[in-house]
Amino acid sequence: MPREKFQTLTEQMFYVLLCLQNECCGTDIMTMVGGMTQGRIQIGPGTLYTLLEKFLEAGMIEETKVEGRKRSYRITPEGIHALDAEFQRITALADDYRRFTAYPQAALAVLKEGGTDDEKGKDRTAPAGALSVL
Amino acid sequence: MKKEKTELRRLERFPFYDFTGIETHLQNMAARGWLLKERGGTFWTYQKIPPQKLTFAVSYLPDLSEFDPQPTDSQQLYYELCESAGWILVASWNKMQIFCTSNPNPIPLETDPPTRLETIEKAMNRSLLPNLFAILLLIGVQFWNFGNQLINNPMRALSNSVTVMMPLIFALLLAVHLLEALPYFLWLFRSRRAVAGGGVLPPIQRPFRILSNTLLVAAIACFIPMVCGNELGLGDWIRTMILVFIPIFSVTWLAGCVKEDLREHKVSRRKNQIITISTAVIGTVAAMALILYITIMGLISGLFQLGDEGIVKTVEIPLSQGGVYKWDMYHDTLPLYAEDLTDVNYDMYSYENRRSQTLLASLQDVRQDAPPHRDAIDRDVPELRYEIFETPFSAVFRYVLHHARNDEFITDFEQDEWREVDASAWNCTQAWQRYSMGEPSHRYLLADSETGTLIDIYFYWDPTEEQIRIAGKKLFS
Repeated sequence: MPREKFQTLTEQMFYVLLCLQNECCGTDIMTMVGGMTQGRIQIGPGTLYTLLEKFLEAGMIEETKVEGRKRSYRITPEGIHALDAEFQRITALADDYRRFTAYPQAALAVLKEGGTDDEKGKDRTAPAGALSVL
Repeated sequence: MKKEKTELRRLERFPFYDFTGIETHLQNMAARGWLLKERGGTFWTYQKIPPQKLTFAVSYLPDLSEFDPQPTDSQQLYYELCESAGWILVASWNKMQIFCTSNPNPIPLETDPPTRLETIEKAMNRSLLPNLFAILLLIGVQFWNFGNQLINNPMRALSNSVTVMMPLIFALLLAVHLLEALPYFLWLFRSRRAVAGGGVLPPIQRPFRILSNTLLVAAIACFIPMVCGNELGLGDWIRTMILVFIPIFSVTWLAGCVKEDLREHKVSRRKNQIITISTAVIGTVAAMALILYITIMGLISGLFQLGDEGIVKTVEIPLSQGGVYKWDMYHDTLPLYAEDLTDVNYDMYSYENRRSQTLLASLQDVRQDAPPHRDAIDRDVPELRYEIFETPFSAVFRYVLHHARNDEFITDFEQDEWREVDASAWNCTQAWQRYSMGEPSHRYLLADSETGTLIDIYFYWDPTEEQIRIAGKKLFS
């Protein structure tokens, strides 16, 4: 299902907004995203067109320049807010990933015990100081 | 030397949503040396190219209207973005855009499944669903009409091929539309699940293609018994079709031309809608007026007249106040003639037997008439009028008989009723005579449940017992 009006952003949405921190046109965005992600993410023209229309409609970007048929856009404060929120979400994901992959048993024990920092010290599998990252 | 064909026009039956099928089909056509040039509603035009491997992509612009100036600014922007990614516009029709590229590994036109799903859903909600509702409404009207006729005049409704076949044709068309729409809804369901799970959109599959094509052929084939079983002759059908379809096509063509012209002149969507719809409405009214005028003038001048199949002679009878009355004489075969019952010898009789037939029942509307005009009528000449309804289905027979029996009016001011009479005299299983204000009339309702025959007969004189016996023998032989 399509997401609830940008509560979360797809990768494509994220990179389009990221590009638009500097004023640029549609063609620039397609090239930039490829470069930013070393080709991992590609934005198709159909998708880009739809996203630009939707972002404009939601006030997340604004049209800054029309030169002939070339249109340029830039992110608005609403767009920056959405981008930040997505960054926070991804960061939280990354933090969780790090916690639960570095010392999985220790992290799980803490979860099960609903433990405190003192209790964390009782963990025997984690080396001294390791739990401080948790 | 035979000139090589450079253009190909083909009838294509792809539902609007079937982007997978269209992309594959166009790819195959290009491999055979035909590139899509123009996509119409039904007919698509291809141009000759050297056979090559091309990749096609179909996308939808939901906000686009067929009344928008061609191309709109947003369309132009879209095309340029696509062009910069190597996708060249091949054809645009309604909300559908078709692109192609010779790049063997192009960046896909759509790369974000949730966004694509949302776009397709929006486009379909504005094209597929309104069409489906319109068809449902049309079919509903047809069934309502059939039900209405079945209640009011079942004898005619069940034996009239148009009345019986039209609901069948529309039911088949409904099935075709539902079978064509169903794969979209199945795809939508699968796609929503796939997108919710972070997957890609599945290709569209059309498992009911053969079935829907078969039903469409069946719907078209239903026109044959409809034309053949109707009381109208072939000539009448052709004339009716010409009178109906030429104006319809003309008005549609005119409105289409106006719309396209306004689009080319960059007239706004709203203005285009108003002018095109006004053209269609005015054109329809004008066409109807023209049909009426042609029909009336044609009938007055005698150039043509509906129902003239079977007329063997037209006699001009001079009128006392001047002028002439045209008396059309038919010479059809009748199951019962006035001559069978009386010694009449009259050469101005018209013997007319209009037959209509369906798979459910048949009806003969029979009349033996003398010229009706008061200047010409010979009041001593006996006339006959009767209807013979036959059906192989006992349920149909019972329903029609029940309806005919209940055709009575008993109020304070009028009293029309059927009273049972001796059926053996009529050579059938049940018989009734019509009584009006307590007085017997010359009208009889005769039923034979064994053969499924029902006859409503009116004598223009009081028949004797012997005449009744002969009539019964003739009618139920």
